[in-house]
Formats: sequence, structure tokens, C-alpha cells
Amino acid sequence: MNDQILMTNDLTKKYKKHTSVDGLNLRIERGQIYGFLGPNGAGKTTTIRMLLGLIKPTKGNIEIFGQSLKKNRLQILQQIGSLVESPTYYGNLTGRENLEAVRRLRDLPEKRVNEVLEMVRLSKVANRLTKEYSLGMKQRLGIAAAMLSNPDLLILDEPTNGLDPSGIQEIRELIKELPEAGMSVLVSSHLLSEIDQMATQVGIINNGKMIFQDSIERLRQKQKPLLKEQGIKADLQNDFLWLSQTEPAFVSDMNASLVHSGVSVYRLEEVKRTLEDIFLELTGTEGSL
Amino acid sequence: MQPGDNEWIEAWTQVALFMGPFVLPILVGVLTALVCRNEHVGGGWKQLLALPIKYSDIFLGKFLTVVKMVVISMVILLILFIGFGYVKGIEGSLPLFTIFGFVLRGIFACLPLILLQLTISIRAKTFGIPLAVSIVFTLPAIIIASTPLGQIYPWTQPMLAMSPEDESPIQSYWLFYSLVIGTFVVLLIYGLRNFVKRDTI
Repeated sequence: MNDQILMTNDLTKKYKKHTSVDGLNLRIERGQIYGFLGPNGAGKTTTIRMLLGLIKPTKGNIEIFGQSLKKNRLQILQQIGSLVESPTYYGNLTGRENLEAVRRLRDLPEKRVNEVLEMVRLSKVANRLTKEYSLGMKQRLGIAAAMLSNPDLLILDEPTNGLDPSGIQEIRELIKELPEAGMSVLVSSHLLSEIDQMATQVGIINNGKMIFQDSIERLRQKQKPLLKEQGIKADLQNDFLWLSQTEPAFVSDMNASLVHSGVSVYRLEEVKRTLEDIFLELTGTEGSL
Repeated sequence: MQPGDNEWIEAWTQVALFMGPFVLPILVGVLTALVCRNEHVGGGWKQLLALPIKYSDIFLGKFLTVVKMVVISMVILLILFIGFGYVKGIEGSLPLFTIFGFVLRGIFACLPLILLQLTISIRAKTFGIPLAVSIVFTLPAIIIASTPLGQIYPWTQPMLAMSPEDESPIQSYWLFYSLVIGTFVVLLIYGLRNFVKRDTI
């Protein structure tokens, strides 16, 4: 399993004084769905643009499939499919014609167009103009275009951006099936819940720095039973009391002492921290979520 | 019109007078802006440049697309010119090859301008700026044509190339076409470097 297909070392991008990406060490292994998570403006898109050679890093290097991106950009891109933000199409061409344009540019076999249309379940609307497509259909067409070359690595930047819940669900199911077809996936998002439901590996970036990179299980382990301390004074107003300990002895003692001192306790509940809380705690930001 | 002049050539002079200094340069401006517009709107460049295709190929592809559109425009012009010429009853035999030669030379002299407008359109990110540049630099074209600068001024070159010899201020065609090729080479190198070295698009 130690088959690394993407690796960055000390990847840094500076725009004048502002450091957008700061010393990033990404590690992606074959067969993984790597969830690249971070609030908006954390440097996800900048990182992805560097991975695709669209912008040049200020410092550090990128190795994909064991080759240096700087030296072998074209060979590497042959094996990558990408979707960078919301894709645009030639609105007056049909979905099939738009894919055909990409197919010709990449010089791929003709049958691939039908295959990817099938994969993203757009076969029925393939002959309709893309300007009539819904946002979800456009996004799926973008993924279809990315998959056209049957790439080893699929890089999807915010593939569910702007979709409704059912659209998100569809894309998520689609991405989860990809490793079976032999593709590894890098998928970025600012929504933890999304990454939580599809990724096997997670990298969390904030202010350009990687603050967590490990399997999703390791992230979940941080979700220990904990009661949040939120200041007893404030909670008394709402008839809630938050405690940080849940040992049966402690709780029953606490309960007894409360009841004995005349406070009626009508409910005891153990509240687990959500992954969302952990994420917020790690990134220290709330505004952009 | 002097006796002995071919009426068709004289009629073409009128077409060249309108097409060369105004319509063609601005048409080039519109077409180059058009082939970049779809890429600027909603990040098409990113999609295109993330494909395993050489940056220089993409630039040359855009260039050749505009050339193709200019060629089609000129063919339409030629067909309409001849058609209306017959309808209006122009006398004399049609010097098809001469007229065709003017059209070809006009297209050829457009090439530096296409490169220049393409470079501007890629940089500008909007439809308006390259179009404004096109119009602002096209307007003085007819004045610049009679100055020595005219032969290397890309907005004037198509007009000089399209005009019949006796209407044109050009002394040496050998020099003029060398200058057109020179301008083309300089703008090609500049445009390619500009596109390949770009960092954000």
C-alpha cells in the first residue's frame, strides 16, 4: 500500500507579501480518495493549480507518479484528469459535442465518450445543449471530461460547489466508485461533512499550512466522548448544565448533589463532539463555514 | 478613372478603401477577442491548460482559428464583390486572379495584427479592452499609412496589402513584405513567450 502517486515537498506559493500556501507536504497513495479540506481561502485552489502546473510554486517541488512536475509536465498530465472549480462549456454544443472536443484534444478513442457519459449518468441528455443543463448536470459533465482519459489520478476542486443536496449525493456516490476503476482521487472541499462521507484519507489546510494529514479513522478517533464546558453561568439561564466528565460515578454523584440541593434534574445526556467541532477547533475558524 | 483602367479594379479600390483601413482591422480585433472570450468567462483557460497539451500549441491553435475565420470572411467578401459586380453591370473582363491576389495579400498582412490582438486579448480578460484597443489604433491607420511608420504598423498593413499598386503609397513591395514578415516573427516570439511564461490566467 506504500505506493505514493503524489508527493509535494515544502510546497510554497507567495503573492507579494501574502503567503497563500506555506510549506505543504502532501502525500497521496494509490487507490485513496484524498479529501483536501480547508475553509475558503485556505490555499486549496492555489495548491491544486500548482499540482496541475497552472501556476508555478515559489518554493518546493511536486512529484507525481514519481516524476518531477517541472520537468515532465506533459507526461504527468497525460495520466491526470482534472476539474478546477466550476467548469465552462461551449453552451451551443451538446454535452456529447463538448466531450468530443476534449477527446480530440487529448486524442483518445471515440468509445470513451459514451463510456464516461454512462458513468456520470448523462447518456439520456447527452444530445441536449449544455446551456440547458442544470448546475448538477454541468458538474457531472465536468467530471466526465476529467475521466475521459481514464486517468490514474483525478483531481477535483470543489466538485459539489453550488449543488443541491441530491446533486451532492450523486457526485459523492460517483466519486466513491472511482477507486474500483483504478483511479485515485484528490477531492477538495470546504465542507467536512462531505469529505467525511467519501474520503479515506484527509488533509486539512488552514492559512496555507497543513494542520492534519492522516486517515479518516484517525480523525474520527479525536471524537472522544466529551462534554463541552460552556460556562455554567450562561447555561443556567437556559436550564442546561454542561459537564466535561462522564464517569458514571461522577455523574451520579453530581446528579445526587444537584437533586439534594433542590435542583430538579429531569434529563442526563451524553453529548459527543461532532467532527465539525473538531474541524473548527483545528482550523480555528468559523466564519467561512 | 482614366481610359484603359479596368472597371473591376476600380471597383475593388472602393472596397479596399473601406475594408482595408477600417473593417478588416476591427474584424480581427473582434474575432481574436471572441476566441478568448469563452476561456476568460468562467475559467476555460484553466481547463485548457490543465490538459496535456503544449502551451505553444494552444496559442498557435487560437491563432490559426482566427486566421481561418478571417479567411472565411474574405471569401465571403470576394463572392459578394463579384456577385454584386455582375448585378450592377460592371464592364470589362473580371481580373479574377488579380482580385484574388489582393484578397490573399490582405489575409497575409493581417497575420501580425492577429498575433498582436491575440496577445492583448489573452492578457485583458475582458471583451471590451481588446476591442477598444482595436478601434483606437485602427482609426489613425489611414493617416499612418502615408508615413514611413505605416509599413510596420500592424493596423495599417492589411490596408496597404489590399490596395491596387497605383493607389498605394508603397515604393517597394519587396521591402513591405519583408517588414510584414519581420513584424510577424517579432510578434509571434513575443506572444508565445508571453503566453508560455504567464503565471496566473
